[in-house]
Amino acid sequence: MRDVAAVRATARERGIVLTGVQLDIDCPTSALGGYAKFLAAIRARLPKDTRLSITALLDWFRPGTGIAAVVEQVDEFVPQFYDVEPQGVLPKYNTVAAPVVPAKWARLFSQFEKPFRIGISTFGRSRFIPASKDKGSFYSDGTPFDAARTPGMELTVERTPAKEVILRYTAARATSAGYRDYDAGDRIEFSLATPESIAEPVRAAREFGPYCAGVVFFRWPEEGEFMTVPPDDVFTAAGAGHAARQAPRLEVRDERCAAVHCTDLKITHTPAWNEKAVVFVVSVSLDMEYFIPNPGFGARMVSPRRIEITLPPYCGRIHLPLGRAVAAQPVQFRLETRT
Amino acid sequence: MRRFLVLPFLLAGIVWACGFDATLREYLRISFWRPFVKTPESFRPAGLKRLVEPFAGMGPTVGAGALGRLRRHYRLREYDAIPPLVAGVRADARLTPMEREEVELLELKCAMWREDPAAKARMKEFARKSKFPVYASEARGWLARMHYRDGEQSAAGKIYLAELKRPDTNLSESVLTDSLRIVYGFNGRDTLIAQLEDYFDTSEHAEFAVQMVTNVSRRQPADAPPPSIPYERIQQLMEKSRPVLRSPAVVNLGMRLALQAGNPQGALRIASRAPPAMDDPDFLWMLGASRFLVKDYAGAAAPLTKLANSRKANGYQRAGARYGLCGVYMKLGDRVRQLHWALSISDPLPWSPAEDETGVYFSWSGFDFGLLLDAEASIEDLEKLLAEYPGSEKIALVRYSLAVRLARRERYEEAGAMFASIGAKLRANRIGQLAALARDASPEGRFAMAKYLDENQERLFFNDRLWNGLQTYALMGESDARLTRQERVTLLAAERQLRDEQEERWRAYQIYHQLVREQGNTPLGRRAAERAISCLRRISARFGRAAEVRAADIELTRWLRTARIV
Repeated sequence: MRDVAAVRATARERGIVLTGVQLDIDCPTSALGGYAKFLAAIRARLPKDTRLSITALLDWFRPGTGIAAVVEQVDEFVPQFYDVEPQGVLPKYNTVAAPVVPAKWARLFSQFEKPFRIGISTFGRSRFIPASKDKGSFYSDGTPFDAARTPGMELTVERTPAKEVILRYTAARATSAGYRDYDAGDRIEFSLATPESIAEPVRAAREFGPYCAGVVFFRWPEEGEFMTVPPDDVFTAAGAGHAARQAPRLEVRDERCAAVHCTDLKITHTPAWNEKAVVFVVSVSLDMEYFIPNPGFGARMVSPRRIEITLPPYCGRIHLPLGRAVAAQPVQFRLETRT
Repeated sequence: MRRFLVLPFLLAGIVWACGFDATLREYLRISFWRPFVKTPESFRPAGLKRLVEPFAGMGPTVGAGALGRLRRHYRLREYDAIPPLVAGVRADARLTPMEREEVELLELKCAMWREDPAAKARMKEFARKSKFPVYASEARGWLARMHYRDGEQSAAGKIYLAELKRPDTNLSESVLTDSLRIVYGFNGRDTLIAQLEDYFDTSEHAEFAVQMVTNVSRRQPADAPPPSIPYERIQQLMEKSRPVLRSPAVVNLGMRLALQAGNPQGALRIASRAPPAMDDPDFLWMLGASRFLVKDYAGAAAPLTKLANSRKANGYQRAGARYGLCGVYMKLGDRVRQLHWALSISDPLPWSPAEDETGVYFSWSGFDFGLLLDAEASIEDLEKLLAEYPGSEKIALVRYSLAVRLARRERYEEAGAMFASIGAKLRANRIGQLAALARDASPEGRFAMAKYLDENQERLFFNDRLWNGLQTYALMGESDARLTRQERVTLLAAERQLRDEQEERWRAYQIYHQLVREQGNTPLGRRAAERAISCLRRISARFGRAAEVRAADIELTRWLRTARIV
């Protein structure tokens, strides 16, 4: 409750109207009775004007669970249409989102006559699957960009029923990238949200009847996170017109060299969820002396006045640090995009 | 066991905490050429002797009668106990005039500690009338403190600044500089900018204020926004106060502003109006910096040389100028002079907190110097340096480096003689053995030579008197964006050559490989192949040429496998 009070105070300071709090607790289905009591205790201590919302696992809605008692304690619940496999178990199929089917779920959610919102995933993840069964698979921190740039990797693309994309990079031969070695047959699988995996459940949510109060996107990317769709793209996919996706931009920073003009180049707002490869071309107003590419991104100087970088499909990166351009005179840079 | 485990972590922690200086070619950054950062110490006159007397209340308490009691109460901070006693003490006819003043000041200090609203005015009056410098200066110090307490930064700062320059003050230099740091540090800069007009009453105050406002620390991270400097307002104030400002101040402050605003041409225009004899460190540095930044490298040499030898400059400023001269002569392609100046700064200066803050970098890593000696300068450059500057410090290091370079070029006799001349007996002996082996051109002789190279890793061609184990951090031409294309090409070639020439195993491998080609599938050929593979596999990844090393390993391994079967 101290945290709630602190959040309220911060919201007040920033002029934000706080209407309620949401608890995201993945309680085991068998323990829903205890969870209902916990929620009742929370409810009693919350200020009267603060609404209480919870996220809900789909498993809670099967017959014979204590979900009714839980829903009774809250003002709103958010069924999560993602990560439906039991926690701590690697799914057989590396997917995050579950299909949102109103015909299956609308009646179950509406029976409580309480508002609910549909929880939609906007994040992705990667998993390393070794060819040898002796080695276990594990979630990895690689990005599609890294995998696409690893020599000897072959890509196959698949769509899940929830319209996510599965990128499967398979090592055709023994290869390595950075500190990681791959044997032939090793796989890196990426499960990524797509515009369709976001648009489709948003459309479906409209068919859930009068108690459906909207959708909740889970979640916004943190700093340096590569596989979560940024808000602009989510809103565009959801058809919310107020936040049109920003066009890719070239960020130019003078590195203040004393005897030459050295400039750091970075492309921001890159289309991280393109189905096809995208080529960015940076045109330079005068000849560069040379260009030092940032390791691992593959930007290259193709002529004294031109730098190019190719973005692989679904690269998952919204910022691309290209490298450092060096010229004898001050120069201007212009960014063009080619698909 | 635990002790052994803790130690590496402890050492790692210390190394991490201290870091090391891996900077190189800093003169190729604009930030290197910023005007000197000013600290309170920058405004102290050199060699000033001050008073060292007890402050009021700090004299003996025993045997001093009623005054002693007052002193004791004061030391125990019993400020309320003092006023009732003061009248009695004043009535004591035995008090000297100085003791009478002490009583007055003690009473005033109690009023100050009790936050009596009249205390500040009374302290000011006391300071004005006091006949004893010990107490007058103490009162001025307390007055400054009260001004600071009341947010009157300019009044406080001016008192401390004036006191810093007075010989008849009982306030120590460290008290005054620390006080100035407190007044102008932390959030003091904002207040200084807000009260800037107050400082344009005298040239001294204006110089102080403008310099403090325009300070940009060398430690300012490159990606942090520079502190905002109200250039226009300062210029207007300077214009308005021109009659007040001393002529050198007009020049120095103008140049400082222009340089900080990124306008070295403007700084040079101002410098052209300077009195001809102007030679203070600030002026010389900014003149050299401005010329360097407009690429007049030859023109930058004169003021920087003058500063490098100036007695008016502190050690850090002189070292900064010397390092700047390395940059000048690098740009002019004069490796001998570049080496000469690098040689003069290759030792860290004794740490001085005040001077360390002056914002001058002087390459204490020694990387610039090491790279020059080991790769960038030619053997002829090193020989010229020895001929032209025979009296330079560390000349033995130059001779040692030259000997290493000669050895790398297989000039073993000369190298051995030079090692011997500076007492490097072990290296001289090894090079002597190498020379003897080199004389035998037979296959067996060459095999023995390669074996000797392989067995003396880092003991023949590696310069073990440079680098402190950190050479890799100095070989960064690949990622250095501060060079021109030609400089980069030259540097990368020099770095590659250094890596190739100093790697004994690479050189041994080449001899073995040649023997394999010549001898074919013979016992000697096979032994050479085995040893060549062994050399390749023990070459550090830092060496580079990864694809070549791998390809050679595969080729020789396959050859050897086939040779053994046959």
